[in-house]
Amino acid sequence: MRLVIDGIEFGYSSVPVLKDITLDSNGPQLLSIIGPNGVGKSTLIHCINRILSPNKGTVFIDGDNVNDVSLKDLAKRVGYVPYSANDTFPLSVVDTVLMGRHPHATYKSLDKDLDIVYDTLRLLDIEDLALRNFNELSAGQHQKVMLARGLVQEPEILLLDEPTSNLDIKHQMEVTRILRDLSQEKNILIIMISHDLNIAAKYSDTMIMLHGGYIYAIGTPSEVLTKENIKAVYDVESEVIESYGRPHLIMLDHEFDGRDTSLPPGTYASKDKRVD
Amino acid sequence: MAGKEDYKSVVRKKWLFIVLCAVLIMVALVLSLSIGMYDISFFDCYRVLIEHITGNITDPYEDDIIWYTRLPISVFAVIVGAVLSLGGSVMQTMLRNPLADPYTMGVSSGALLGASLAIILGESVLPFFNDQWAKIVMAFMFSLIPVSVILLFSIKRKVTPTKVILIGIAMMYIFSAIVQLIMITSSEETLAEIYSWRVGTLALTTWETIPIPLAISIVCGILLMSHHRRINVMMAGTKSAHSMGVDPNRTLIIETALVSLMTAAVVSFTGTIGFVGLVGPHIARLFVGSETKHLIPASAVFGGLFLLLANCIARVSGEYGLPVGVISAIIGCPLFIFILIKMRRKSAWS
Amino acid sequence: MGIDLNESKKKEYRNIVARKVFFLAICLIILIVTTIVSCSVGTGYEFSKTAQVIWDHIIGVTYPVRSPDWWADYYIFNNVMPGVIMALIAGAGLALAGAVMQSMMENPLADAYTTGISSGACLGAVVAIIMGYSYSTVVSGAGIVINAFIGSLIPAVIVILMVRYVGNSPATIILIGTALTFFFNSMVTLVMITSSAESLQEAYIWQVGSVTNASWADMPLMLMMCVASAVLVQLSSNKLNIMALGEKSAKSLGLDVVQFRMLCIILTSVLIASIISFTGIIGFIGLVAPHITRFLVGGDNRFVIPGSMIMGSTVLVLADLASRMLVSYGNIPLGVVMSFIGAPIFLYLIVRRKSDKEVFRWQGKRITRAWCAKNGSS
Repeated sequence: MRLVIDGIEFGYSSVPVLKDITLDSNGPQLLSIIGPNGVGKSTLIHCINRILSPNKGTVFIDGDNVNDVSLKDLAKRVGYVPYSANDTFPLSVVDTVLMGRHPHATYKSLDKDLDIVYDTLRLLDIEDLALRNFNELSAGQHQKVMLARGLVQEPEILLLDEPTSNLDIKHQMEVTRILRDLSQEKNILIIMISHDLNIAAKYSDTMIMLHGGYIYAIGTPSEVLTKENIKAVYDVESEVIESYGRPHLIMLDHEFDGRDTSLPPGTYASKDKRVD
Repeated sequence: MAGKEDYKSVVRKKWLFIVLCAVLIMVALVLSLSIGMYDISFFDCYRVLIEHITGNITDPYEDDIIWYTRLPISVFAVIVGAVLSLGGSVMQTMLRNPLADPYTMGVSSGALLGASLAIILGESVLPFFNDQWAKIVMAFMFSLIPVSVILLFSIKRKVTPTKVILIGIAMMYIFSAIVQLIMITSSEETLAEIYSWRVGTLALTTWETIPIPLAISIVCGILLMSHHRRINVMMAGTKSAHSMGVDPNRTLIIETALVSLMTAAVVSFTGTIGFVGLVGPHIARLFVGSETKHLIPASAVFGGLFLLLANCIARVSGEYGLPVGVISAIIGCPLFIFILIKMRRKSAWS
Repeated sequence: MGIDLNESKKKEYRNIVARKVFFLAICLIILIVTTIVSCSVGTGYEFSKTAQVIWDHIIGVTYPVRSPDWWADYYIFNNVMPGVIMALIAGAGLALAGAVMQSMMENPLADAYTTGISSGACLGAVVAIIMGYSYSTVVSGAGIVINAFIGSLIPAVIVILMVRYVGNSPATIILIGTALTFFFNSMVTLVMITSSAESLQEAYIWQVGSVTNASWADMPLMLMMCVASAVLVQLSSNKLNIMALGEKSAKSLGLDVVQFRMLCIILTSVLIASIISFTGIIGFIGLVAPHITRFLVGGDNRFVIPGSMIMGSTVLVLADLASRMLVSYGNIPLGVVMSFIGAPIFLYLIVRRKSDKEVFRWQGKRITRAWCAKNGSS
C-alpha cells in the first residue's frame, strides 16, 4: 500500500497548524509520529482519513485521491483507533468490535463477520471478554477492544491516536509489539501517534518528527531520535544510548543533575514503622 | 467455534424477548376490549369479535362499543406506542444521549403550535378540512417545520450534529413562546382545549383515522430498520463513525427526518403523549442491550405494549376516564427515575 | 527591583478591580434610572415628575388629600410601583440564585430551577387554585403563596435527602432534579386536566409568571430573603470561585465541598421559593443574567454576584415595562415577555459555546430537557 501526502496545509480559521507536509510511504511498516503538544499530530492523521479536509494539498492512497473515494470505500482501506472511547450506553465487547465490520457488512454476512471478530479477539488475547460489558473493562482492555475494532475493518492503513497513553508499561510494550507484528503479518501500514519516545523508538520501523507545522525529521528511529533533534524540537537536553540497535533517550536536567540532593537528616519513608 | 455460539445464543434470547412482547400485545389487545366503562366480559368480547368478522351480529350495541370504539383505540395505542418508542430509541442512539426522545427535534412544540392555531382560528389554513381534521392537518404541517428548516440548511451548507440540535432547540423555543402567548390570551374553554390536546389522548380514534398514520409509520419504520447498521455505528462517536464509513452529518439528518415524520404522523392525531418515547427504549435496552438491530424492534414492541396497558388503565381511571398521556406520565415517571438510578451504577456516567 | 515589579503588578490589579467596581456602580445607576422610567411609562407622568414623586415619598412629604400631587403619589405608589419593585427584587434574587447554581454545579447552563423547585411550586400553587383559592382576596392570595412555597420545598428536600444515598456530584443532582421536574409536572398536568376550565386558566396564568398581583405586603419577605442571601453569598464568593475550579481542586484548597454544596442548595431553594411563590415561574433570568454579567466583568464571583443581581433586576424591570406597554394587545404577563427575550439570548449563549462540545452536548441537552419538562412538553 502506498500512502502519498502531497503538500498538505491545514489551519483552524486563522491559526495555521500544518504548513506543508509531504510524505511518500510504501509497504507495510509501523510508523510513529512524534512531536510536542499541539504540533498537529492528530490533525495530520485526521487529514489522512478525511475527518478533516486540508486547506491545500491532497492525500493519495494507492494512487487514488482520498476525496474521490466514497466514505465507505475509504473505510474499507483506512481504519482508525481513537484516543478515547464513547461509552454512553452499555454495549458488549463483541457488539463494539462488530461495528468495525460496517464497511464490509451485508445483511447476510453476520456469520462471517462474527468469525472475523472472534479471530481478532483471540489474536489480541481478549477472547474471554467477548460478552462482557465494554464499560466494565480496564484501560488496557479498552485499548485492545478499540484496536480490535479498527483491525476488523481489514484496512491497508491503520491510524492510531495515542494508543498507549493511559496504559502501564507492560501493556504499553504489549500493544506496541502487537502493532509491529501485525503490520508485517497482515500487511498493514500502521501509523501511530505516540508521546512515549522510547517505546515508539523500540518498535517502530520509521519515525516522523513534526515541528512548526513541517516534518522536521523522518527516518529510522536511530536517525530521528538524536540529541540534536530533541533539543531543537522539544528544547530538552538529552543523551541517546543504544539498546539492541534501537535508540534510547535519557533526559537530562543540567540544573538538577549532579546536584547534592540529599534530604535533611531524619527525612524518610519506609515500609515499616520505625520504633527507635 | 465456541465463542461464536455463545454470542448467537445471546442473540436468540433477545429475539425471544421481542417475540414474547409481540405475543403479549396480541393477548392484551383482546383483553383490553373488555376493559372500559361498560362491563363486557372477556368471552363476550371474543364472541362479538367473531360475530362481527363472520357478519352475524347479534347485539348491535355491544358490537358498536367493541368493534367501533374500543378495538380501534387499542389498535392505535399499540401503533402509537411502537412509533414513539422506536423513534426514541433511534434518537437516543444517534445523539448518544439518554434523555433524547422523538420530540427532540421540535416536533412536539411544532405540533402544539399547529393545533393551537387550529383551535383558536377555528379552521385550518387549507379550507377543505372540517374541525377535527383541521387540528390534525395543522399539527402535522407545523410539526415538520423544524425538520424542514434543518433539511434546507443541510442542502446549502454543511450542517454538523451540533448545528442540527441547535436549530431544533431554537425552533422549539420560538414555538413554545408563541404557544405560551396564545394560551395566555385565549379564553378559558380554548385554553382547556389546547391543554388537553397537549396532554395527548387516544379517545378520538376511529377506523378512519388509523390508515394514514399507520401507512406512514410502517414505511418509516421499515426504512429505519434497514438503516440499523448506520444508526448503530453512530454510537461510536462522530470521528469513529466517520472512519467506519458513515457520514455522521448526513445520517443524523436523514434518520432524524424519518423519526420526525413518523412521530408527526402519529402525534397530529393524538397530541403529544409523553414518556413512551423516553422510557420505552431504556426498558427495552435493559433486556436486549444497545445493539440497534435488536433495540429497534424491542423498543417498538415494548412501547406498543406499554401504551396499550396505559390506555387500559386510563380508560377506567377517574370519572370519565383520563387521557392516556396523563397515565403514561404517571407510570413513566417513577420508571424513569428508577432507570436513572440503575444506570448510574451501571455505566461510567458521572 | 523585584519589589518594584510587584508594586506595579499590584497597582495594575487594583486598577482592574477599581474599574470593575466603577462599572458596577454605573450599572446600578442605570438600574435606578430604568426603574423610574418604568414607573413613569403608562402613568402619563414624565420622568422628572415621577422621580420627584418617588423622592418626596421616600423623604416623607405628604400632600393635601386628593390634590393632583396626591393622586400622582397614590397612583404611582399603589398601582405601578409594587409591580416594578417586585420585578426588581425578583430579578435580583433569581439572578443571584442562578449565579450560585452555575458556580456550584460547575455547569454554565445550570439555572435555579434545575433541582425541580419550580415544578414543586407549580404543583403547590395549582392545587391551591383548584381548591378555590384565588388572588381576589388577600387571604386567598396568601393561601396560594403559602402552598406554592411548601410545594417548592418538597423537591428541594427530596434532592437533599437522596443525595445522601446516591452521591453528591453535580451530575447526580441534575439527574434527580430532572426526574423530579418530570414527576411534578405530570402531577400538575393531572390536577389541571381534571379541573374546570376557569381554574385551569387561572392556574396557567400563575404558572407563566407575572407581577400583576403584587402588593407592598408581599415585599418584606422577598426583600429580606434577597438581602440576606445576597450578603451571605457575597461573603462566600471566594468559596464559589474555588468551587468552579472543580471538585478535586476545591477539596485540595481546603473547601468542604459536600457541605458547601448542601448549604448552597438549601439557600437557593429557600430564596427561589420565596420569590416564585409570589411571581410564578419566570424563566431565563437565572440563566442569562449571570452570563451577560460574566461577559462584561469576567468570572470572578466577587463581581459576578452583585453584577448578576443588578443585571437581573434591570432585565426584569425592562421586561415588565415591555409587558405593560403591550397592554393594548392584551394582558401579556411578564413570564411570556421573558420567554421572548430570554430564548434568543440563551440560544446565542449556546452558539457561542458550540466549540466547547462537551459542555453543549452533555449538559446543554440536559438543561434543555429540564426546561422542556418545566414547560410540560415532554
